[in-house]
Amino acid sequence: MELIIKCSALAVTASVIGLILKKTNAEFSFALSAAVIAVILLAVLKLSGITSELLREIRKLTADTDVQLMVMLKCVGIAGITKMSAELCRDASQNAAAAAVEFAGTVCAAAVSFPMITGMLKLIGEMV
Amino acid sequence: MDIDLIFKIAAIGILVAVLNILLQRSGREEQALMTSITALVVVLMVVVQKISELFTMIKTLFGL
Repeated sequence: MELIIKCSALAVTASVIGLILKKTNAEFSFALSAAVIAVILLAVLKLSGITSELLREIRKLTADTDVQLMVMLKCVGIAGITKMSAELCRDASQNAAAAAVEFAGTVCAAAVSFPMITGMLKLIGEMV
Repeated sequence: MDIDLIFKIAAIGILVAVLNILLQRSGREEQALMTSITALVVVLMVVVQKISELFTMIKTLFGL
């Protein structure tokens, strides 16, 4: 797959350009980092055709565990957004903002997986 | 893959850096600051659109 080679080359090139821009205009270096993240992730996520097919197959095989699969997918999405945003904030030396984003991601993931946790606790209660 | 965007931002950044130095050396510091802020706003508008597109795709793909 040449996509990974393109992504790596773009990331390395943008990092070198970012180093040059950091000396004079640090804010442009930050904007460049954000643009690189957006471009690379968009290129990768456009392979979602393969991912959707895989998800459809998994749903067919595990028909009654559909809720758990959706919860897992949502947690993966939340984790991705949280990680990306926190690292962008750290690049701009805003550690407090990064910590706040990480905490928000944790709370959102917990909120999304709440139905699964209550289901599990009910199951344990029935067994006991 | 939108590689052109990266090089456009890099080119604007380098151009603004050069203009900044020129304006500051000729004693026009306010104009240097205005140039930097204007260019940054333009770049951020483009970047925010791309990030919005990314978040929309993540939302659709992961069912958020």
